[in-house]
Amino acid sequence: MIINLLKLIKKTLPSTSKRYIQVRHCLSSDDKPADVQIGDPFCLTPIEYESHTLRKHDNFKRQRLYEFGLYVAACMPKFVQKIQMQHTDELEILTSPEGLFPVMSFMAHHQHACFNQCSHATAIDVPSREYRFEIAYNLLSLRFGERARVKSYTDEVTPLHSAYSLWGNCNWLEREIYDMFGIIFTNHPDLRRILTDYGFVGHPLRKDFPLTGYVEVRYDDELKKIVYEPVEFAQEMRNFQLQSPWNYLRSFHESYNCPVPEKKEAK
Amino acid sequence: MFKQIGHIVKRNPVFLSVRYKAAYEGDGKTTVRVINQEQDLGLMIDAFATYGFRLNNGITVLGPIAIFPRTILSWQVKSSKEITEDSLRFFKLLEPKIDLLIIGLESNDRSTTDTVFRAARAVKLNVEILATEHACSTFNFLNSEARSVAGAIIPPLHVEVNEDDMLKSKLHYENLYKKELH
Repeated sequence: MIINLLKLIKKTLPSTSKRYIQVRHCLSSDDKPADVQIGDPFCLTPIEYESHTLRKHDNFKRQRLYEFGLYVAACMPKFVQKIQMQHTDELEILTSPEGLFPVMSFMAHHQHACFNQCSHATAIDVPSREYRFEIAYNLLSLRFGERARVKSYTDEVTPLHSAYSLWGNCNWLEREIYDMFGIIFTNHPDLRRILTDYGFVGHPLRKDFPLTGYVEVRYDDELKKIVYEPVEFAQEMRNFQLQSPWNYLRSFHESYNCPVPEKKEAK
Repeated sequence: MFKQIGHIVKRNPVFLSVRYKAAYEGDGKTTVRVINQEQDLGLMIDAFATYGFRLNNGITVLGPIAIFPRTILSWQVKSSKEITEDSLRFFKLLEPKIDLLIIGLESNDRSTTDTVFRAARAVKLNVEILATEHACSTFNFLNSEARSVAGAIIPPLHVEVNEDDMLKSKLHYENLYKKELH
């Protein structure tokens, strides 16, 4: 009865409140059978936990953010490749590398998006992939009070369009990404190293760059200046095996996470 | 001016002594140190233009320069296209060996940077390739730290001038003390 009433209201009221009603309709609809496998792709199943120790999810906000993600995907179907919601209720918009700048200028300037602040920009290196770097821009909308993440991918040689023209702080953020990973940005006013030493060779946060680096620096008293030498260890790398002769962690044995089913002996 | 102070003294004499004291006098006081003025730190580049550079010992050099802690030479390179392995080989022959070579290019293009980087890698030099503006300041403060660095800098194609720069260069070329008073 309530659902019919909602449907009636949907038709009559203007479209701005339609969204609100649709969300409420999603959350309160009971006419879907519980054992249906394929759910409605536009409606997220609300997360409710009985336990009081687990984080409470604002399902209404979550659904609204997801619908905004669908809206972005519908506005730019050529570039947006995937929309995902994280377990922390964060929206991620995954785009192709050519579409990174168009999608970000949409997010920055469109009246329904208004993401006027770029909180942070980072990159991830997964060397086993063909496009080894994943780049993520965390955006914040001061007008709507929402956050979103725009992610894209690239390899070592393909440049990305800089977001400097949209948000000025991307100047340093992209310089940091260039310095740490080696991702080149076009249309960047001043792309040079920002964190590493002058004349440093290599990109430290790549996975194939060792933790201790290649060169170590020290002050030489005889020459009265700083010298660069290849890094050497007084002690070689040790792999610790955390075992003890006493069984004090008897319960936490190897098959703790995957318990082997007990075989009942037939008598 | 003194009449005004007299006024203030009459009205609130207690505050006069506090009024002109500096904001913070102590350990962590903010100071400014202009390294270009300190002559014993070595050569530094004071200013650059499309035709050359002015150093802190008063010398103006025209064209591309090869600058060292206490020496200045003119570099026979017309543009960054002419920076090859041969033109950089000279920096490898220096004694004491330089830690870092700072190359200042006249423009910010990625393609020119790549060719110069490859030439530098062929000579096996530790290089830092920057735009002219950044190369000058990097050379200045690395030299002030007494590190053995050398600079190979080409004057820039475009210089963005603001009014302060225009005033300073005007004052430099017109010697105010020798001008006749009107």
